[in-house]
Amino acid sequence: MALPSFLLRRVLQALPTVLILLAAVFWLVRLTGDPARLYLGDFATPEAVQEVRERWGLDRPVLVQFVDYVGGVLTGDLGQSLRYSRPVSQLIASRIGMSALLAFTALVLAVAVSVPLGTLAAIYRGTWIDSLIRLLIVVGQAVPRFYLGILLIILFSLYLDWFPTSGAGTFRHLVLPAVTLATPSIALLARLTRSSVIDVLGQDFVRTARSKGVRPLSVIARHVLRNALIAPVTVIAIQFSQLMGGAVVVETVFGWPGLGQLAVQSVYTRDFVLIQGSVLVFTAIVVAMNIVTDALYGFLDPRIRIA
Amino acid sequence: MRYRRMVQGLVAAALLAGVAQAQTLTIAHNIDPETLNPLMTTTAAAESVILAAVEKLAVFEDGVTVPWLLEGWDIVSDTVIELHIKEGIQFSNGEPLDAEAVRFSFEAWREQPVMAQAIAGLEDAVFEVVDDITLRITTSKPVPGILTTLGRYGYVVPPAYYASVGPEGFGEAPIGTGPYVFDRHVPGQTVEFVRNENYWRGEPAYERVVFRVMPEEFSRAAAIEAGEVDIAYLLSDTSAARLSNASGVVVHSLPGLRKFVAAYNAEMPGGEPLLDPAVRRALNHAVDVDAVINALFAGQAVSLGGSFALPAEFGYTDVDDFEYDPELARSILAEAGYPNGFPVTLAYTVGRYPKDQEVGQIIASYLEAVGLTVQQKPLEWGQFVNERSNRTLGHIFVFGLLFPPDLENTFTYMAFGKEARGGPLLTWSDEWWDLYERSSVTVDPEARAELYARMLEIDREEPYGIYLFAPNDVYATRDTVAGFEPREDQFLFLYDVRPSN
Repeated sequence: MALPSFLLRRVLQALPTVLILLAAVFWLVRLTGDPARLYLGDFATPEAVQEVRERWGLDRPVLVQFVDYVGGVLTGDLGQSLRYSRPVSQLIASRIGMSALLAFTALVLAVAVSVPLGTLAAIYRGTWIDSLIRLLIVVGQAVPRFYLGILLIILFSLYLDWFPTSGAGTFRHLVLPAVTLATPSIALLARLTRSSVIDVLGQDFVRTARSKGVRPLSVIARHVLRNALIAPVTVIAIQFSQLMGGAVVVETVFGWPGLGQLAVQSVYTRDFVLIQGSVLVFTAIVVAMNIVTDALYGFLDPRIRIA
Repeated sequence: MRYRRMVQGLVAAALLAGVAQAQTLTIAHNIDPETLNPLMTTTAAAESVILAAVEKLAVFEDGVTVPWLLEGWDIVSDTVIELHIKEGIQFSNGEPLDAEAVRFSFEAWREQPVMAQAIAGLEDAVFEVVDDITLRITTSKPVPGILTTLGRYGYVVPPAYYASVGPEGFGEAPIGTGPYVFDRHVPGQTVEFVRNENYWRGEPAYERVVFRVMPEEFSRAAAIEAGEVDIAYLLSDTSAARLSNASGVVVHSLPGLRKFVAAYNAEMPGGEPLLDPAVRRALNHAVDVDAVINALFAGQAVSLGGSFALPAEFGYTDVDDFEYDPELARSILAEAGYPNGFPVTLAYTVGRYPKDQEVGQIIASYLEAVGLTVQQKPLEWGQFVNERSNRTLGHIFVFGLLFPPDLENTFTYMAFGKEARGGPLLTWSDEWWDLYERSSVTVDPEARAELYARMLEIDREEPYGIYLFAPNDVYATRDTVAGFEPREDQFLFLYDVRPSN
């Protein structure tokens, strides 16, 4: 199947997923509290609460609100934030670039560190090097991101004074949040690379290459990695969407002005429209990355046809 | 020679950078304000940012309302007050601060639904310009807390500009009479101001003030420790302990106005035992508040003692504390007919206040120790408010209130239970209601304070809840900054802040 028709088919298949998720979020957030009462505070009269609910359109039946909302989304209108009184699309647009920058940097970092690490562990399988790397992988996957972020701030900002504690604006601001965000991905990709390289190292063509006298480094670079990286590379696209999600925590710890921070704030204030918009964007990213992953499978491994 | 010049150049650049840094005051702040329009928010944290540019008619000093943009006021009668505005002050856009500007601000303020709390008693007030600097406010009934309202919410905006940009537009680019002029708001990052060279009290010390958005408390503490910011706004006691040993950092801690109570809600099915004042007193004896303060807040909090009032509030009178005495609690419960306790649901917030979950869990264990069967109900804040509004929260629920320093607000909140406006419901004695209704129309401060004194005594005998504590508010400054005075109301008065050298 040609790539364009594959993409079109996958996008059409994804639409119901997005719609179901949107409906779920739309109803669920309305079960969690009344934004009008949160906005007005403890002293609000029932009349004042009702007035704000009417102003925000929350007094209408939920189904009517949902149909209205979906109609807006289809025309590119994500609605007006309840708290910021500004278009949600504008708010998201002002933040998503920072989240993407952070996620992309973390992804590059994850790939740059995990592939050599996983390969090294596979080559020295069963030795202390392998044990050490596997220990690092376990720690990297287990440590919560917010905790790791705090540890990195204490070490690299307070003791060593190498990087700023938080904020954005320069490359130095990017380092600690990117490392924090990348660490679990480094662990995952290194583990995948290790097992994949071990598999390939046992293949006949590697033995043949070695017996022909090809230098060990060339065997690894030209024969092993080329074949072993198919699985990790396809996971990378999914990792990107997970990194965008992980940014929710990291952005809060490091005061990084991205979409994650905005989404957290919108949950606290029950800014329904902004929550819906943020979830919609995160969903779109996950769906898009899944499609990219499927496309990559076919591209990287001709044995797998896009079907 | 070339190297010497290079070194000289580097030194000069470093010095200039140092000067530039000294000319900017950077504050690590906990929120990114949704709006910079002070007429559209009642969040003290947001207002503490806005106050750099937009000022109020009055402020609180040691629990008393004192004039700020006002010269003073005359209380003409129980329903009429005249405000005298300081002469010669201008907004930073050149508009004059006069009676018309104050009248306009009151009208604009009254239109905002979020000000429901603020306008209590002023809903139908008439604002009348007597002359350029005099505004008369006539209310339909006496409003005892009118001066407190001026001190808490009395922001003044320039009428022509406000009318031209509207409330939302003003929220994006506020203008006021403050020491600094709004420059820009980078969402999620900073709110920045520049010096108001024509400020009516004289030129402020800093060329620029930058509020950095840092929602995570640890990040604010780390930033002040690393010297990245000059002031860190609202820190935890844990950070205070660490920062007190850090070089170049000064920690400021003062009793805050947010007071916590485990309020009784007798209305819930099964809440009948709480209608008995003796039971309510017994539960106060069951909780060792001082131990909670020491264990969770490193001693950085004030115990409320025997009432839901703080010494910093107008109308405060000392009443007997509830001694921690679980034996006494058990015997009172037995006498009241509950020798084996009774089941209660204890609701508390998670993540709304510092260590709120731990506080809830500890109270539950204290209540269980005197025989109650406690079902804990930890809730996220939005859900907590929702259930409180629906009156399904629990028999006892723990929450904090941050009010202007006047007990009128506390008593009004307590009275809300009757009106089903979200507060817990209790059956107050007829005397309490009589005193409350009289106090709500008594303008004379001394007479009002007398009524409050008796109400506090009743609150000791018929407790509203288990009276807990008011945590200290903790700030930190670098030693390069002088003149910072933390305030109970959590506002920042930046004009007084200056470089220490």
